[in-house]
Amino acid sequence: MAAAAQLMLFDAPAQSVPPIQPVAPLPAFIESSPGYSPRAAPLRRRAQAWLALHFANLSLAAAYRTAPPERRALLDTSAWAVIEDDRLKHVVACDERAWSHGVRPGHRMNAAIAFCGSLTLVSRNARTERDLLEHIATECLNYTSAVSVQPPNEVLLEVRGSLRLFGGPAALIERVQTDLAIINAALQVALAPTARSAQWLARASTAPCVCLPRQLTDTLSSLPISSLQWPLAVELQLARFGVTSLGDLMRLSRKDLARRIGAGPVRELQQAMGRTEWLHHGWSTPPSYHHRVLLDFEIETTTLLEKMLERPLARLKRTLIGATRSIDELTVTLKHRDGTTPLTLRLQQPTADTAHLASLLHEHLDRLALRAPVREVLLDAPRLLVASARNRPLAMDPATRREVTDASEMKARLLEQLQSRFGAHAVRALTVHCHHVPERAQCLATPSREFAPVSTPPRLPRRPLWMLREPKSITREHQAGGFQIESSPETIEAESWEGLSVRRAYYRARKRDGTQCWIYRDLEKRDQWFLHGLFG
Amino acid sequence: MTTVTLADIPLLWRAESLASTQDYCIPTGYAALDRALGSGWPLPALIEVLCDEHGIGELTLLLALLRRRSLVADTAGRQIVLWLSPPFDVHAAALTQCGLTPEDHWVCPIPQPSDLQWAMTQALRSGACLAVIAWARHLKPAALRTLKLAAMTGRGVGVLFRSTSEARLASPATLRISLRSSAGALDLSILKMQGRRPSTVRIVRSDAER
Repeated sequence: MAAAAQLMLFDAPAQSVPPIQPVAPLPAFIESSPGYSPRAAPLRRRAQAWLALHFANLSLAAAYRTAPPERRALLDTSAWAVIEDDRLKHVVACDERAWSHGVRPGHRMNAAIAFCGSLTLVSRNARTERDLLEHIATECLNYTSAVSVQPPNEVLLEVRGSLRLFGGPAALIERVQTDLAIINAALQVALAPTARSAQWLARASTAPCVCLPRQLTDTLSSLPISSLQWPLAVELQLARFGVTSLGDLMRLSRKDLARRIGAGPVRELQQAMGRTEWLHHGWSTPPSYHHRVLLDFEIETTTLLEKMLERPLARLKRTLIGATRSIDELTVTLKHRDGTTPLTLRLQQPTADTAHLASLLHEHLDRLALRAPVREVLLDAPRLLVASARNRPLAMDPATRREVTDASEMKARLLEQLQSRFGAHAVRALTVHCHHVPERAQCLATPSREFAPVSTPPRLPRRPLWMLREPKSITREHQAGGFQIESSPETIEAESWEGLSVRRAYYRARKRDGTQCWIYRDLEKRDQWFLHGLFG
Repeated sequence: MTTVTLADIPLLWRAESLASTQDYCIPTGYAALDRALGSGWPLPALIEVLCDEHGIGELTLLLALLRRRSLVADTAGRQIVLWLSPPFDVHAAALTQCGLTPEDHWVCPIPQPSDLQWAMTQALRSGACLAVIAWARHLKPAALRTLKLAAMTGRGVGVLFRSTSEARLASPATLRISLRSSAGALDLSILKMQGRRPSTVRIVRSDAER
């Protein structure tokens, strides 16, 4: 009952009459009922619940994250502010120390320095802010698939379908706050029936705010105009009218208002009330993954490096699972003071299992001798592939007692492990190659997942299981009677135009100690005997 | 006057009647050897083959083991045979003649002897391998124990070729066989087989059985 009531909270407001989607075709038993007509069914839009995330200090957080370690130490101890790169160098954001000295966003640089003489100034980098916001949006895909990025510092999520899964609005908000606390950008959250109202409420209050559909008008009415972050000219003009809150604004005629302050704010008000649509660009997972980890201190041992990589890998896993993606290649680049060391993991099968990646990285790092201390680590996955979900047994298979039951996956994992320890070309699969000359009759190929059709060689006399890499001269032993020939000769010839000139007569022979050998007489030279294989 | 035989003592257990640790046996293809081993190659197991020379018939002996079907369902893919640092090249055409698929045989030369135990353990534990065949020297009993446990986990067979001089060293392997070639025949002495007695078997080579 409680769950049902929770779900009913976010019905569409009464005004939202314009139908978006027609009623889905109904099952036959409804159509057959007398008096039913599709037109009579009330056409209602699916109720929405928007969660707005407003990061008041996004520029501070972005500047701090990209600062080098020695600069970070300075930022930790002194008052600092981020300034816009325009002519007057306005302050965009400042930390608490600067705030307590009287510095406020919007001050000019000169004024800010006048308030606080020891102020450290960092210039704003719009690119890193945008990157951070997009990273946040990607993380938010864990909660819902409808995510919209609103530069400069907001992310909107449509969470109507996720409320039940996460245990209600309060639980969802708490989880979002916990997950994003690490970004440390003064997160302000609000949940409301429309995207615009959620955005305004998030801007207005530092405490999390939940607005139910029936409270929408009341809640919005009490919002002061100054909290909406409208252009300063509009704000001043409205102040001259004597309009200080949204409630005052709602009482005015829309048409006259649009003529005086422009159509933009009026449209936004309509959107907040749910009378007009607001279309968003959806955010989806980027096609590749990049993560730059700036280390607080230089790392000199691979053991410590492995420990340090746990967190970036956990973040990679969150991203992959949130977006149902998997990767087939990962490059971990270790940056030194001069130069870099790249470690590339190429996987046989795409995976989202970072524990496996960690074990492969362990093999790489085990072999690695760090040539210089590591200052920075980059994780790059060039492709994010759509993960294919597989059915797995509910309980572990008692016969094999393992989670991975697919032999091809086990093979791929073993191959990756061996390759990461011994090199990419260490493991070779045997393949038959059609050629007369025995040393050319096989080749070693990289094991492939596709099973090549078995090429059956023509019917040949018996071949030895062991083949010597180079034929060994045994002329002297043979002359001493060390080999007892047990078969008729098999002559193998290859012409010089094939790249090697071979004329040999092969025999099966037995040595005195019982070893069965494959020996040949070179027909091009006079009475030269060679050992070429052992029957094993 | 009643005679008490050993079989009448209730507290005495014979080694042969102990619950076998092996779930399956694979017929070796040689009747005499099957009898000596119970009913065939044990599985899963760590098998030690002690022989000093190459080419006396040590691979022919194992062919039945490599031919077995994998325990994992066939639809899920086939298991492989991994050759770790073999002394010579394995000839693909000969494998085909023996009824094996060369593509399922992976060869991995290992430059450092210390890495061999790691590679064999990983391969056995992964469950991807039907058999792992390795040539090793100077393995400690603890390393052998690890290999055996890995074989039990991955339910495969680890075959370890060692020199006969190591026959006196203690080993936790399931089966230890020492091979010696004598005129036209192969002498197998089973030094240890869990649940069985040590014995000797003589296999006469004949071209027909191959």
